Amino acid sequence: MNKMLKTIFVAGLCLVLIGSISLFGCKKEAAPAEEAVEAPAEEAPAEEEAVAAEVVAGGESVFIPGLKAMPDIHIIFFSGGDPGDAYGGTVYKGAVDAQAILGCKVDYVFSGWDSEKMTKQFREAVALKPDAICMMGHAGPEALTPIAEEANAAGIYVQWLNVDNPEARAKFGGSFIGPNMLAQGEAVAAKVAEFASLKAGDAVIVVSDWKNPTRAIREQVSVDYLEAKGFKVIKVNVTGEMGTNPELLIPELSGAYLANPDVKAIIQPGNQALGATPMYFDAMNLQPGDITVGGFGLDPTVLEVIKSGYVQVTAGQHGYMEGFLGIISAAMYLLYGYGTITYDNSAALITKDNYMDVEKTVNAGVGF
Amino acid sequence: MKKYFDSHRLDISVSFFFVLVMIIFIIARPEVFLSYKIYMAVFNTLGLVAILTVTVVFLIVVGEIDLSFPSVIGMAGWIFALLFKVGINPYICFFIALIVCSFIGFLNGIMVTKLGLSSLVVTLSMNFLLRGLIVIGSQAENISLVPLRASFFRSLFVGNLGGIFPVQMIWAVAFTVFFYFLFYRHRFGGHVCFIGDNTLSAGEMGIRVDRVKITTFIMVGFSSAFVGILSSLLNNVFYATSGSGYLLLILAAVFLGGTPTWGGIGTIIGALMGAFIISFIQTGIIAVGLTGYFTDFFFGLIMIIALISHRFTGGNLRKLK
Amino acid sequence: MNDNNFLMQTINISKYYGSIQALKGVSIDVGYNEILGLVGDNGAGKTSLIKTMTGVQQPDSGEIYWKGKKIINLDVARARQLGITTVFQDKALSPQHPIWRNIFMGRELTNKLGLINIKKQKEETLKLMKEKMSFTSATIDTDTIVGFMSGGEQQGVAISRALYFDSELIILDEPTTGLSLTESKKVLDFVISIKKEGKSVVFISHNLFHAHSVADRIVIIDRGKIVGNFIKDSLPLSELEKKMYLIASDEHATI
Repeated sequence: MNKMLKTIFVAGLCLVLIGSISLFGCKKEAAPAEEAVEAPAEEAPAEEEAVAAEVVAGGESVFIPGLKAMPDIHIIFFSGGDPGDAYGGTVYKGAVDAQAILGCKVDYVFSGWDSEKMTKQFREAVALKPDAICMMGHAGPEALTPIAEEANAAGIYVQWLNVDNPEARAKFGGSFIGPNMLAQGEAVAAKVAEFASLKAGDAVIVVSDWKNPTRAIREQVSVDYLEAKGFKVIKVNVTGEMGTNPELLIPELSGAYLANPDVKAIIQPGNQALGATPMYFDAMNLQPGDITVGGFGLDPTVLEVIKSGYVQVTAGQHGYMEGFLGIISAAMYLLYGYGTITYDNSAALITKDNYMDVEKTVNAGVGF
Repeated sequence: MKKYFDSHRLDISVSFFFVLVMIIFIIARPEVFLSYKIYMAVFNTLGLVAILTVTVVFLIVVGEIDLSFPSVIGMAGWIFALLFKVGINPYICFFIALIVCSFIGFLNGIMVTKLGLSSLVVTLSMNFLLRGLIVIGSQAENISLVPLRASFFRSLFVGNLGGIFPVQMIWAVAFTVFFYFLFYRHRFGGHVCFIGDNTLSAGEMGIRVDRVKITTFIMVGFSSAFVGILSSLLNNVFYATSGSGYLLLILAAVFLGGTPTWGGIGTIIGALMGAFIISFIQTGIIAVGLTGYFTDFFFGLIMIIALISHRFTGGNLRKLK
Repeated sequence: MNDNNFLMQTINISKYYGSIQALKGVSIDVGYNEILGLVGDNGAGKTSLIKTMTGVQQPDSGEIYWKGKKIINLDVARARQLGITTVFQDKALSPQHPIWRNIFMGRELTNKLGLINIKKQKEETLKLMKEKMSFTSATIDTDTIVGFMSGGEQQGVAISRALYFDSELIILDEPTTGLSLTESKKVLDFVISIKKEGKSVVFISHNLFHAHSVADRIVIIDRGKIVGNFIKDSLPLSELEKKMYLIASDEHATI
C-alpha cells in the first residue's frame, strides 16, 4: 500500500514538472510583439508617412536593414538583481521588450546584486561564446577586466550597464548605460541638506549596504558631500535580508535615531527602504516631515510616500531604458559595428512638487 | 525552588544572558535604553520574529528542520494580498492564506515521513519551488495594502495599542504562552521530545511518530503564514521577495535561545529570549555607536558567548545522545 | 491442543522472510509465574519469535494462545492490552529526560485536554521507585535525567515501567548485554523480583550464565527450530554450555 502511494506521488510530481515546463516554456516562445520600431528621430516629410504606416504593419526597421528578426544573434544579459527585484526587474522588462522587437536570442542572468556571483557568472557567460554580453560592473575593474579581456579575445562584444568599468571600456570599447552616481549622490545629499535646513552639528543617518562598496557608491558620495559640509554622518548597514523584508531594519534604524538626538535626516539606498518609511516612522513615533527623508529609487510605493509627505526627495533612474538600450545598442553594434553609446539614465529629483509628472510612467511599472 | 531552576535551566540561563546584555547597553547609553521608545520600536519586528521562533523549536526538537519557511512567509503574504486586491474580505483572505500554508507544511511533513526524504533537502527544495511560484505568479510586482492602512483589521494584528505598543508583541506572547503549555505540560510536547531523543524508542512505546512530525511541520507552516501576513500588513505592501530575510534570523534565535541542534530537548521561553537577544543586539550595537562595519563582528561575538554560556549552565547533555 | 495451564503458547509458528524461513514450526509455551530462558545463536530466530509473540509481525502459519484463548491478528496495541510487554535491548528510554517522564512515555497521565498531570506522574514514579525499583542510591530521584544513570539502573527503570503497566508477561531482550558484573547482578535480582510479583518473564540472552541463573526453564532455539526444552534443575550450567557448543559446531542432532 505504501509503495503504491509512493509511486503515485512521484509520478504526480513528474507530471507537474513536465506540465510546468511545457506551460511556461511555451509562454516564452510566444510570437514576438508586433511593435513598431521607431524610425530615427528625423523630420518626417509628407511622402514618408506612407512608409511609416508600413513600418507599423511589418515591425521591421526601414532605415536599418536587418534590425529585426535576428534569431542568429545571441546576447547574454545581466539584469543585476533577482526576478523579484524592484530595479533589476525594470531593467529586465526593458530588455525583454527590446528582445521581443528584435527577435534575437537573449539569456538573462540574475545575480541578487552579489558581486562575487556576478563575476562567476561573467566567466561562465564568456565560456558560452555568445555574440555579446551586457554586463554590470559592480564587482569592480580588478575582477572584471581580465574576464573582459578574455571575452574580447574570443570576439565577444561586451558592454556595461548600471555600474561602469572605465578600464575595460578604454581597452576594449563598449557602451555604458547607467546613472551618473556622483551627480546623483551629491544632488540628493544637497537637496536633503536644504530641506532639513541642516546646521553645523546636525546629523544624517545614511543607510546602505556598506559592506559591498560597489552597491554603496551613491550613498558614499552623499556621505562625502555631507561630511565636507561639516555635518555628522551615522552609517547604518542594511543587509540583503532587510532588502527583502524592510521591517527587519527597524531595530537598527530606531537604535541609530534614538541614540543620536541631533539626527535631522535619513538617506535611504533604494525604493523598498523608501517605501517602508511610514512603517519606520510609526515604529519611531514620528509624524511625516518630523525628519527629512531622501533617497534613490522610484516606484509606485515611493510615489505614494512622497505624496503623503513621508519622503521629501528621491532620485529617479530609468531602469527600463537601461535594459532596452542595452539590447538595442548591442544589436546595432553586432550588425554594423557601431552604436556604442554612453547614456546617463539618471532622471530628475522627484519631490512633492513634481511627482505628478512621472506618475503615469511609474504606475505602469516601467519608470524608475 | 531548586527543582524549578533545574528543570528550566536553559530558560533561566538564556533570560539571564539577555538581562546581562541589556544591562551593558543601559550602562552605555542610559538615555536610550531607559526610555520606553526604543523597546516599542524594536517590538515591531521582535513580535514577528518571536512568533515563528517559538514554533520552529518544536520542529528542531523532533529532530527535523524546515528551510522552506521563508518562502511560506512570502506565499502567505502573496495569497493574502492577491485575494485582497481582488476584493475579498481581509479576514477571509487571512483565513485562506493560513489554510493553504498549513497545507504546505502538511506536504513537507508527508514527504519527510512517508517518502523518507531528508527534511533538510526537501524543505530547501520547497523553498526554491515556492519562491519561484510566488515570483511567477506575482510577476515580481508588489501588491499594495495601503487601503488597509487605517483599518481595524490591520490594527488588530500590527496596530499600536494606546498608540505606542505594537500589537504583534501581544500576539507573540500569546503564541509563546500557548506553546509553553503545549511543550512542557501537554502530552504532545512530551512526544515531540521523545521522538527527537530516541525515535526508535518512541515508536516502540506506541507514540505515533509520523503523526507528531507532520503536526510540527503543519505548525511551522501556520506560523510562517501568520508572520507573512503580519509582515505584509506592517509594510503596507506585499513584496515578492518577502520572507527570505527571516531564514538565518529565526534559526539563530532558536539556537541562541538554547535549543540544541541534536533534538530531543528544547526550550520555548529560551526561544522567545533568543528572539529578544537577536533583535536587541542589533539595536544596541548601533546605539552605542558601533555603526557600519562593526555590527557583524559584535553580533557574531555575542552569539558565540551566548552559546558557550548555554554549555555551562545547561549541563552537558550532548554526550547523552 | 490449547491449554489453560499456560500463560502463553505458540503452536507451530512459521515465518518466512522472502525465501528464507526464519521460524520452522516453533511451539513454545510460557507458564504462569515462570521465568523462561530463551537461548540460541545469532540468527537462530529469537528475535523473530519474540516479534511474533508481541505482535510486531504476523506469522505466516501457526497459532497463538493467551491464557487458553486463541488470539487472531495479534498487533502491538492488542499485545499491550493483553499484558505483553517487551523491554528492548536499547531499553526504549529517552536519555535527555527525567525518570518521571520516561516511565509514562506514550502513556502519559493526562486530563481530557491532553495536559499532563505532572504532580501525579511524579508521585506514581516515586512510589514505583521506592517499591519496585528499590533504588537505594541517594542521588537518584524522580527528576534524575535517565542518561546520567548507569546501564543497570536504566534497565531497572525500563523493567519497572513494564511492571507498572500491569504486564503479565515481560519479555527481556538481552538485558545484561554490555553491563558490568555489579550492574548485571542488579538486573538479575530485579528479574527474580518480577517473579515474586506473580508475573512471567521470557529472558533472552547470549550469556548462558545469566540465563541459567534466573530461569526456571531453558529453551534452546537453533536455525528456526526448538532443539531443547529443559527444566533448569535437570540441566546444570556445564551441560548447557556443552550443548550450545555442539550447536555452534553444527552437530545439533546429538543434543
